[in-house]
Amino acid sequence: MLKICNLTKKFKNNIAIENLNLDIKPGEIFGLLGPNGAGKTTTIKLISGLLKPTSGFVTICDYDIQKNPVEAKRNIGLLPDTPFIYQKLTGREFLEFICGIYNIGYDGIDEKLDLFDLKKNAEELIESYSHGMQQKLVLAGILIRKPKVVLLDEPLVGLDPKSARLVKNIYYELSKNGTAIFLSTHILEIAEKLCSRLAIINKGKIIALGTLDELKKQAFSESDLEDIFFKLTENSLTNKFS
Amino acid sequence: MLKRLFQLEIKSFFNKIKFISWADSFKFSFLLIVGFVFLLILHQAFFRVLIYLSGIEFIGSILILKLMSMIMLTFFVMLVFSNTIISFSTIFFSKDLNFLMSMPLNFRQIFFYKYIKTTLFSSWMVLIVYLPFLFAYGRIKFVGIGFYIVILLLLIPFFLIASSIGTTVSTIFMRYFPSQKTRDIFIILGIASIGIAYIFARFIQPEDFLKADKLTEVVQYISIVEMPTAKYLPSWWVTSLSFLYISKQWGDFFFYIAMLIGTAFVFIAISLFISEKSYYEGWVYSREATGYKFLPKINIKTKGIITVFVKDIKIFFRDTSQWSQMLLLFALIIVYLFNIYKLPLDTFFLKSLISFLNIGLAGFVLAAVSLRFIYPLVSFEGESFWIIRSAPIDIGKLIVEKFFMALIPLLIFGIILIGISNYLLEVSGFLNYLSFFLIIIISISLTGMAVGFGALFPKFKVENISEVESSAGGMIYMIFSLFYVFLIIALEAIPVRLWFLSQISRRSHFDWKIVGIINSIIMILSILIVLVPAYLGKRNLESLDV
Repeated sequence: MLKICNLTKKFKNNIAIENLNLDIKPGEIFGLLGPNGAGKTTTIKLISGLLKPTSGFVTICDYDIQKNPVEAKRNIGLLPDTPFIYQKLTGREFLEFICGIYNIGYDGIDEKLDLFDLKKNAEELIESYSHGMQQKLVLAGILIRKPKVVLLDEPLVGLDPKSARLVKNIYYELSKNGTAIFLSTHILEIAEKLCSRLAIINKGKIIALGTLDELKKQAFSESDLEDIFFKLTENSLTNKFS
Repeated sequence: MLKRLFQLEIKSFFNKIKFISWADSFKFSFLLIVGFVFLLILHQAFFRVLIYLSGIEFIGSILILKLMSMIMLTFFVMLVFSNTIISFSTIFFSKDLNFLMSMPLNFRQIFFYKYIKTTLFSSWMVLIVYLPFLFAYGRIKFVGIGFYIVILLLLIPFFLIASSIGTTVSTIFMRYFPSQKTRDIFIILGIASIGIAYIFARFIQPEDFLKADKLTEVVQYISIVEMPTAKYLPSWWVTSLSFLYISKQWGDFFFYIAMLIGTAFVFIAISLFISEKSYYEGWVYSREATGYKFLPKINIKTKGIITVFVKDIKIFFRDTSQWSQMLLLFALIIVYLFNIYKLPLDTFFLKSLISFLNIGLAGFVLAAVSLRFIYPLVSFEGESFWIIRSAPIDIGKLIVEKFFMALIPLLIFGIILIGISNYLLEVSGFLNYLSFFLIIIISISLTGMAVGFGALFPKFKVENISEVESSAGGMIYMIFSLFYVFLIIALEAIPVRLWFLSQISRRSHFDWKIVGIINSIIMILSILIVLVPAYLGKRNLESLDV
């Protein structure tokens, strides 16, 4: 579903991502963990075509994001960490806009507004929405078109507990229906609860990859993900200086 | 704490200079040179007017005083208006307010900090425009450097009084009508007033002031009638101070200084007092205000790129800072057409020449309009551009959408402009058809060029959209667009000259082949001017890191 091959991204002299290789299957919830500045957001932007790779490629449903961007993007739903959306549209107009550009029917709009408790604000300008409401609106815009791959950058930031639970249930449902979900986060509890497979990235390189059990073996630890994360990231630092 | 905030501003200013990019330093240097030349020309113009007036017996110096008081009154009114409008943004809606309000500062300190910023933003341009007049006045009066230092220092309380009035008005309004709508209403009213004032100033035909046959009436009128020099306003006090300094009437001089400085203190005190009562509530409630209840609804179900088109239309008309500029544009056009109407065109040669040159002038107007409204179209996507880039939309189609969105209004505008000016100039026949043909070509070309350049030099992260048109890319576009219009006129001058000669002499100089060749060159040039920037802009947007 989502294939990343030898992906590298350099910003001037700074290597943000180095030789990334990942293969995400349909129905998988894949988590990319890492500290701040590790390259999580850069990875998501490279997958969604917002950044051009220095080398390597990304395919979504066998479409190369750089060579066949339009076809590839039809299958992607992107939720950035700070989703800036058109402030002078109403919530309903934004969803209509999404339906229009993705060439899908307008029937599901009311249902999605209801689902995210946005119906009473649907006719107000987005500029009056809170951050969490805007996040939910963008998510509604993703769900309405049922993409095959969903990219989430810090997906639960800004959501209240009720919305966070709702959204987690939605992700489970999506994965059951065959959608591949790729999420990046630095909040380990989210990754531990949601993801079927994880990768830990540090300074642009994957330092660990596998299920939670496989990561425990790799870290020689039976502890929780937090301990594994610190062990592996500290080891990668130690290896650098040994 | 307040001192630290101002230190921060100074440090930010020097950092801007220290970390300036080559593109911005080029733009800044260019603007500095152009600005200096413009001010020099303005200074010379003022100097000539003052020399002329000072040569008038008996009442020359009174006329100069009246002129100065009218200028200062105009400045004062403009300052009050601009301070009111700017203060809405700086004092109530600037992005750093959440941060400032969370700091251990009392609201009066925050208000005062923003008040000083408002004063600086609104005053610097008035000061720049006033300097040529001040130096012209100083030149004819043979003053020393002390005069300039004193007057410039006395402008400080003058600016502070205007700023106090403006910020007090905005604070009171925001307290009782705490909403972005209040700001928008003031912006619209302010722009409409400036437009009306501009039209009025042109319609009273100030050039008659200097005509020999009109001068006697004007002079009598001014000297006899009590002109609205507004003796109780700071504008008159600054005017008087200039005169009193030169004539060394120190008693009255210090009296007016006391008035000016004392009034400034009183107004600042009033402003701070009102801010203590109203600023926090106005700011806090403005955050609770919901959006517009009455929105222009366009309920069309669209697909693909047409959806983007409909979205752009909706957003354009909901952003008052955008479409309110059209009010000013309307005023500018009225004055433009009035100027044409007033031109003395007695001979066939003059009429033909002006009619032809009018095409170029209309082209320059379209270039300025396209810079203001069309060049920023891609940048209007702002920080939401990620939606377009991550959507299954071909960037080429996006460029085409922006092109057609802009072409229709610019084309209509150009045709109306040429149509009305041709009617006023009584143009017919060949020149009439030619002007319509050229303005259509120019409109299409400028639209394509503006969209292309806008895609080549987008600025998605600006707080104020006017930063887009004043960027290095905007400047490059302006140069190219003006050069293109100039080139079109220069090329078309060849067949027009032949046509003119054929009209005035019995020998026919006119050759349709030459018309065909020249206009083919123009067509090819125009096609290139549309396609090349569009292609480069598309490539840029596709490869841009978002």
